Amino acid sequence: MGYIQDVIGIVERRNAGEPEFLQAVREVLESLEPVVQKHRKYQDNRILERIVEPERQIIFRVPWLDDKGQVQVNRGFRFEFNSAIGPYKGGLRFHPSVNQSILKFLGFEQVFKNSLTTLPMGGGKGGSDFDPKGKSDAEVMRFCQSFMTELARHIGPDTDVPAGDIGVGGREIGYMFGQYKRLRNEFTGVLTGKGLKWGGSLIRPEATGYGAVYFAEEMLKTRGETFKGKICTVSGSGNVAQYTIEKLNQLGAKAVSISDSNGTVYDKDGISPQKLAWAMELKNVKRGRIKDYADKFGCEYREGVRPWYIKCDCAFPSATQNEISGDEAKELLKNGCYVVSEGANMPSTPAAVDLFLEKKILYGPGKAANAGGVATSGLEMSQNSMRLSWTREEVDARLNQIMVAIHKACFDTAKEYGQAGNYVMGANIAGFIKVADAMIDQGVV
Amino acid sequence: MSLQGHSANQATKDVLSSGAADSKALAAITEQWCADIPPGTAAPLKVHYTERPGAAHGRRFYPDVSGWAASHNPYVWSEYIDPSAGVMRLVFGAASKLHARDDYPRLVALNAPNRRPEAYFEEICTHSQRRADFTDVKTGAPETGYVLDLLQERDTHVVELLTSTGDAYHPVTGEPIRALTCEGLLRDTPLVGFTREILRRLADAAGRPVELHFALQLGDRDGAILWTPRELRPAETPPEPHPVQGRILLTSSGFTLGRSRLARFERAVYISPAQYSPLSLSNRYELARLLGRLRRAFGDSPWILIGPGRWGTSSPELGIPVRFAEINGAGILIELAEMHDTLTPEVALGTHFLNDIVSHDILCAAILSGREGHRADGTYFEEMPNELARIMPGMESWASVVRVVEARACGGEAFVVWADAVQRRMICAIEFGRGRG
Repeated sequence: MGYIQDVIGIVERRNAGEPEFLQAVREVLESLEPVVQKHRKYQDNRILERIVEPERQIIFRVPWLDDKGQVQVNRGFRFEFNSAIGPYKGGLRFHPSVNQSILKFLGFEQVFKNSLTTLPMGGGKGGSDFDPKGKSDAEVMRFCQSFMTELARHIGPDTDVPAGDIGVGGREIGYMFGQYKRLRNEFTGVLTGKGLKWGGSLIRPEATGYGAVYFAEEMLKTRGETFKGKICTVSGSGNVAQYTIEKLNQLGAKAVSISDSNGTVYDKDGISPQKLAWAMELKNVKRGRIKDYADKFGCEYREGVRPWYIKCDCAFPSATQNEISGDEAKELLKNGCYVVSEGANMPSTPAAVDLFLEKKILYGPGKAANAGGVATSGLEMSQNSMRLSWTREEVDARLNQIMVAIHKACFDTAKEYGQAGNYVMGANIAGFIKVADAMIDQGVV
Repeated sequence: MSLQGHSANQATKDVLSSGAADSKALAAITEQWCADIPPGTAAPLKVHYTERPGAAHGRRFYPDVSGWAASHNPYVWSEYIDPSAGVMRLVFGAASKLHARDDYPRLVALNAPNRRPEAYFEEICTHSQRRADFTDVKTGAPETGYVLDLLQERDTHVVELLTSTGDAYHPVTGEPIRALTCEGLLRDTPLVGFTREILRRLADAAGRPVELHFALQLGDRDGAILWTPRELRPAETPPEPHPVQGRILLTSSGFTLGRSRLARFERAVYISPAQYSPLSLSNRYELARLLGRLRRAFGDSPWILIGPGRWGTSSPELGIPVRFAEINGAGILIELAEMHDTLTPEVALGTHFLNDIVSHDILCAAILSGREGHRADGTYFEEMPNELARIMPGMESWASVVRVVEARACGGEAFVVWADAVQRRMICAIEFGRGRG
């Protein structure tokens, strides 16, 4: 650990006052111990020292006029962290909490997330301390135009391709894309998350849920199994949960649960495509409670509990962070569950993860299993570059290929490091190796 | 029915002093003022007295819009909001939804009606009214239905005034999804200006802040909007000077959000900033889930919740990433701005779930360390007996971070909270029995 601790010490000295960034660096570097010990080349080439330093940091003034005609000033950022395997890629966040430390932390993590997708995407992050809450449409537009007026000098379809993040949705992407187009006089794929009619990609809402199922399908294949006849529990009722259930149905599994923050529905007959369409209308259009599903279809509803008490083969946590505690993990395993594929971010507590690894079930951690969303951004870039719009089926097929590739990268890496079947270790290391090896190949730049 | 000058003031005072809602007298008072308000581009507005506002649509009887308005706005969540301009809340259908905890009336700051606390249209959809209440014409029974189902029976004029679309689409048909925003009603009719002016005149006449209930019938495209006053009452004001005695634990000045009140609580939950700060990301989420379990254990008994940074943040480095369902039993929500030594503290004053806070009538306050008028006696909560392990056996390992403090276990009677929405001040103390304090 000497080399890693030395580098952490350097980062702490150079980045004092950036607690979020320091914590992220510590966590990532410590997970890389087996790689650094096995391959001396990373130390010889000073890869860790280089990878923790953004390639470029841009901080700029964003002046704009509010509806009263008063001048407002915000601060804009773009951290172009690493372009070893492709153009910088990462979201723009508009939120009053945005600062250098948070964006560096997010940008650093983005490097490895993007690498894990196996697509040619570097890592970056940016944004502003502008708060879109409480602003009128006209104010948001004027802010976005001013923000892009400076950012346009630094980005481009082959240089840096930002996406949305907190506070940056379809409206903001539209305003920024319009301003970029006006400034550069070119219609290019400089941003992702665009509207379907002007360069966006199909399958974006579906991608994370579909991806989590594809990842689980690959895990099952390592044991010579398929989804045919498998009983699956799904938590949540947002996009990730809905499209997880849709894909499970398509692959012959039976999804038996759906939940919201109030409780869980257990439909032992399975959530058929017709029932799912009804649930989508309920949650996406009428914004009703999932309890209405139980009332409509006459099935079990439990207030205030999550679906992990239900007997199943596979579980798809698709709701929120820490939704599977250590005790719930024990209950899942006791009930026969042997596949967990995380559609949500960090849904399993460390105690739950430890138990899954100890019992050697097929456990797909979120950083790999829910990479479908990031992957679709990559597919949007590809379509823009080719000046093509793929059909739903084409995008879905490519998403499948990507998830297969992510699974293979995690699986092979874990095996190489003597931990076959440990997708956590595989995911941590695979993303790093691709970037680090590319940096070595490209010399000291 | 018209009244002038002094007689209007006296009539307003009479209405307020009568105790019961005299909506006929109120209609007489307001009718003359209506003529002074410029008409909107979509439809004029007329004061219209009726015993039972509303109309039948098939088997359903309901007013098109029910509203509550106050001359002082206690929900100042943005720098653009002028509290003295007033506020209103609007629902489609019967007024009972104005007070429902599980739904979202449209909250309108009367000087900034287009400013919303949501950042995207998807969030607007999530925080728009879902269900509307009506009376079944045949049975006379109160019933409820989905807003969008009810609107399907209405003509496009009403739909256009009450709903809007954005970048959210139906997952199957691909059609834009509608949300009940009242955008057309606020933009194209005189309702906002009229309500603001009526509230100002009523409050002037009454000599104190007032609250008003009303109903609207939207009519057809060429007709007037009919405005029916229902009830006028003085706004709740806290006793002055504040009667809080005992040991003062928390004070905030200029950073509160919510109605005035004087309330008592059996317990407070205090998240220690010093112990929260070093928690890992995963443990911060774990703490949020633990608070959800505590909420269920507390049942219906409300409590005071105090913690570092922003409640409900999606960035756990800035506060505690709870979902609203995990803390919706709290009566008072306090944000302590002292989380990091090296960062400027930020508070959200509950805006991560503003609509929920308004629906649940929760008071939010921020305590800014070191600022005049702000105080948080963390030592008290750290030193008093912690009831966490008794209430949640097996959670002892969290006892240093989560302090569940019960007034009686500390030798007190209750935690008392006094809040003044006009001055935006809050004081919280532990009250002792006679002979102590």
